[in-house]
Amino acid sequence: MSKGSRRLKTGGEIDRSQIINFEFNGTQYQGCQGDSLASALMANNVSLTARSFKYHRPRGIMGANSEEPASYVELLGDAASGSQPITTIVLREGLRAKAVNCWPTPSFDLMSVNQLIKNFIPAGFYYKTLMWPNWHFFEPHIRRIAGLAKAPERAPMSGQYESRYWFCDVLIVGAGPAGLMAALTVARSGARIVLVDDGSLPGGDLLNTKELLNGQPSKIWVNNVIDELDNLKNVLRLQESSAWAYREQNLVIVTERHPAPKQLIQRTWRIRARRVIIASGAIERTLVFKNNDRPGVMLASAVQAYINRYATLPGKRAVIFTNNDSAYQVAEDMIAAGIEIAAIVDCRKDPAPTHASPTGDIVHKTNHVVTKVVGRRRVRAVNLRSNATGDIKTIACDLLCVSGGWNPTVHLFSQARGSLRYEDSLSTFVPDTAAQANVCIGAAAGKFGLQEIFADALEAGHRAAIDCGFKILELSAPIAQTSAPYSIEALWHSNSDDLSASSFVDIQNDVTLHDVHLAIREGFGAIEHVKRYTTGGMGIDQGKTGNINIIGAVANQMNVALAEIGTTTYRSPFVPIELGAIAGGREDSAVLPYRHTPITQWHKDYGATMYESGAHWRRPGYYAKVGESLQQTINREALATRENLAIYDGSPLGKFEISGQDAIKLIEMLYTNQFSNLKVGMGRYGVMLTEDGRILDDGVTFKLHDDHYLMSTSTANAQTVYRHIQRFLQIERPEWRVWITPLTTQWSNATLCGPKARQVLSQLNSDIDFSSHAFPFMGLREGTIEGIKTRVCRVSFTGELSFEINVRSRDALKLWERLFEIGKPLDLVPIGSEANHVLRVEKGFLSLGHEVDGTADPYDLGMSWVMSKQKADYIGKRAVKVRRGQNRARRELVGLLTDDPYRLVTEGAPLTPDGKLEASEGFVTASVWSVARSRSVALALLADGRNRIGQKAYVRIKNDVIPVTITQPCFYDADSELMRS
Amino acid sequence: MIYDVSIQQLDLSCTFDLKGSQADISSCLKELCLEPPKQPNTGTMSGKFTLGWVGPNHWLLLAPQSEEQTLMSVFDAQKTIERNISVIEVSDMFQFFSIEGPDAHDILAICSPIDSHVTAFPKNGFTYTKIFDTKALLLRSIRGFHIAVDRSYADFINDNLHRTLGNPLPINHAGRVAKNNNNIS
Repeated sequence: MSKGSRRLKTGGEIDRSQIINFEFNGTQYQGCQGDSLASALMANNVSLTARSFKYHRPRGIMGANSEEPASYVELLGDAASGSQPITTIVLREGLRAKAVNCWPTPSFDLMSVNQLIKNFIPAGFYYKTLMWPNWHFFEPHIRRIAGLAKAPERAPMSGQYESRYWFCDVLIVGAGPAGLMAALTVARSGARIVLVDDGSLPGGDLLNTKELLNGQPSKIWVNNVIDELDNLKNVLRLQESSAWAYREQNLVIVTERHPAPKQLIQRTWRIRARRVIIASGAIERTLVFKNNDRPGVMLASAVQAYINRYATLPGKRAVIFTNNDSAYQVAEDMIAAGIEIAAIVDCRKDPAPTHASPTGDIVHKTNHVVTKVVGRRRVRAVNLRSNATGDIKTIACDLLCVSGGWNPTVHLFSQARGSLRYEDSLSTFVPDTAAQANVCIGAAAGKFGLQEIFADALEAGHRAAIDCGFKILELSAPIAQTSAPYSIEALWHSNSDDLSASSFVDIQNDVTLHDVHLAIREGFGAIEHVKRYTTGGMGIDQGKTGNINIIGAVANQMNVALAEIGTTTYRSPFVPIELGAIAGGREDSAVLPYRHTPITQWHKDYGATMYESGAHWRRPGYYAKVGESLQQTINREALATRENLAIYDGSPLGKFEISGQDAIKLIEMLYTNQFSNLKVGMGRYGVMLTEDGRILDDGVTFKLHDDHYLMSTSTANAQTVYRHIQRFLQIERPEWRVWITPLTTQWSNATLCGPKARQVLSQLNSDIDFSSHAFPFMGLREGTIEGIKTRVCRVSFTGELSFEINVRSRDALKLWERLFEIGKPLDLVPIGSEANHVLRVEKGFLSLGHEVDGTADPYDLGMSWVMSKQKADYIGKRAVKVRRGQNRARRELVGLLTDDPYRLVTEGAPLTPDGKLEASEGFVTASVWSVARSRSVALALLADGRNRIGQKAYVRIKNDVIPVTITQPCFYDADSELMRS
Repeated sequence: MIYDVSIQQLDLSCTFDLKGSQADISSCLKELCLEPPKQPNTGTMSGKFTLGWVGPNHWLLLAPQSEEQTLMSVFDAQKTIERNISVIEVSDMFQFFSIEGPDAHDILAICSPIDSHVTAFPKNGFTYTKIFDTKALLLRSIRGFHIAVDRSYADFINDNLHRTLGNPLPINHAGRVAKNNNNIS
């Protein structure tokens, strides 16, 4: 322990025999097992622990738990973490931390110059003053100055985060007296329960007081309950775990800060409970007066915690300032610990009789308020003012304990959309009507007497168990020794005459009473506006100690009741949560799902560059050879297809089998063209529309047998098409006897294409006749190749002779390697999606996401032939008819040829009239270097495009306009003779 | 490893997708002495065959791969069309994994939003759910669970499962060296 230690020789829940070494702001200290970082620093007589967010004022420790508004720290080293309340950090060997909002240290902070200009930077100043030349000029600097702790720059070197789901009958949040009592009640019924507590030890406020239960120290009762719960199989107990978000359908998100397997950094639980009991206690609020943020100003309950739990003295001579009864019990504990009480200042004229004469010779100033703290880096004295006479008196002290009353911790209840009501007798908001299956109990429900809390918990536990269908066992509550009544008189500020910028209503965000009044003067009086104007109640603290004071200040200033003001929205997370804990194990390659074909590894081994090409599929983009540029690779692959022989992995194409007596009715409804006259063994290209008559997808459907079809879809849209069909069948035609089965990955596909494709097939051992006569274009043949069961389809996306060879996925690699072996002497080349893109653009085949942009219909793409005139109905028919009946100009698919054949236009670039800076008349959907034409070619959707073929158009790109000639949207084999060959 | 569990990627098993009315399916399965389960999201077993009820008018039949030919002859295409049911082999669509050992429930809690407690997912449970946000089939095995995902997601699932165990694959499928693998220098 360092010199000047404030550690008590006895008492507390710490182990003095276990010394823990730690570092704070570069200085080495020692603490004890059981300490928090805050208590260890306090024991080492460190009182200046942070600087404030905006004005960089000196700040110390104010609270003892997650309500801490003043001191946040950044953890360093392997445990690196951003802004964490100093009071929630459990001391561990080697812990390294530094204060936030200061440079280089809290004692000497260069940014403390902000205090000199505080009058010029009130709330909202940047909305008004940082307008020229541009807010974004200032923004990075402002963020650098503010911004609390830095996020860790790299992921932890070892260990991992975890996220998991969990279910239970009853979730109990909080293991204080109410939570433990409720947990025991429910647990004995046999219901599955989870008990969550954010403290390092269970017991809640019982840890901080000298309360006796059944005549014994409360610790004994707590330990007995914990022992029983830990021995029950139906109980999961999560200590050092914060329930920080409450979502729909009783989903509560909990982060466990130190889970048991040491390899885990943190674990997040997504707990779905049938019932939730919120026993989250209450938070003591501060009082508002000048310099109420100085180091040495502490919440009274926190002082009690440091004395009783951590055996640490927060000060030597104290003044207590209160507006309620709870601070008097603190006074007794302080005296017992050896702290001199200089005065108890109570704003009430007549405090409760039991507290009228506190112990001994303590000066008891009723009907007085503290108006100011004297001292800069530490409290040196306080000024008191008599409400009766106005007399001011200064009392020397190094500690000011404040208690502005208690706010039930309603954050989770409110996040669950439960409503709150203002309770006059408690001067705070309490839970009103629950919106989900939950209940607040104990202090969280505004019940502050210990015996009342136990009774409430028993009843809530019984009710939850019964609601979940369990029988309850008789259980009685322990008898509390003290159960003093609680009374309070609202006090929203004690110094309305002095509105200098140092009476803080929200200490974490540096929001002063002056700021609140300014917001009201500026017309932002609604409480949600006050919040946004001042930032009060925002940020990582979420206004735990300050929110009600802000509401009180607004109500006072506007002279309305607090009930009329209401509260702001309580948001998650309740406490700062590491992003890693939210993400869980999802990092690196596991962030997004990815899909592979059976041939993926072959592609990689062959040097393919793989990337996502829709629907999570990672496909080969191209197979670059050493020394080749990207364009050279694409040209080589595309040219091989046009002139020789190529192969690609078409496995991701969507595939469905549709069967049943109404199968053809479904297909006719889905496609715009006719399929009823399709013969077995043949397929037909079709286009599907959405109900509003825009193209959803295209593909080929084959007739396998009567009432049995094989449908193919685009890769990216397979799932969308499946949902589209299911929706139609389940909602529109549930009576149809038709079955649809997705088979995309049952069948893998190797597509051979190019003039020599048939030469390869002819060398295969197969029972299929691949001649053009026996196997025409758009045909499907089932048989075997090299003993492998196959379905071969003659369709083409490249415009060349093409065979899609489908085999069961187990055989895909075997087939692929065999094809490659046979094709090698013929210079077979694997091609990727880049070359495929070139080939389809040359042919003018449409592609989803390019020409099919969510607005186009088949007429726009020059495909009127696919819109059947014979069919009575199909999805989208009426919508297309209505839209086209309006005779408005539409964007139509055209080809573009640049004047300069070597100039490529940019995909997505707009076309504007005469290239002027005007509203676009279309855009470039695709642009490639054509190996067939040895020049650049492009496709575009252009207003009234077909009537403008032969005319000039202009593509606008940054700093240039590219003139182009409008052409037919096909640049190769316009009659499609090659692919039918 | 963080958890006491064994995760194995299983060999191909024979799987058929059956659709139709319960009566029609029932009659079709008589030859296999297999009765459809009484409760949705559960399965029944008969010899080597397991039949799971996975959706309205939708069943999955699982069998060892050695039974593939037998089942294909039972479910002759023409017969099924006449019966107005759909029976399609989907064996190659699935990649099965076994997750077995004392901590199997922990692994499932990490990878799936399903409540795997026996009161919610019974011993004969057989259902579709999500594994790492990917559609998957889930059923119990003697020492844990079997899951089946679309085979295209198998590498992704394997990648995730190894991460869950604290034992990432040496080179993950994005081609990068895994962070926590101590074998990689």
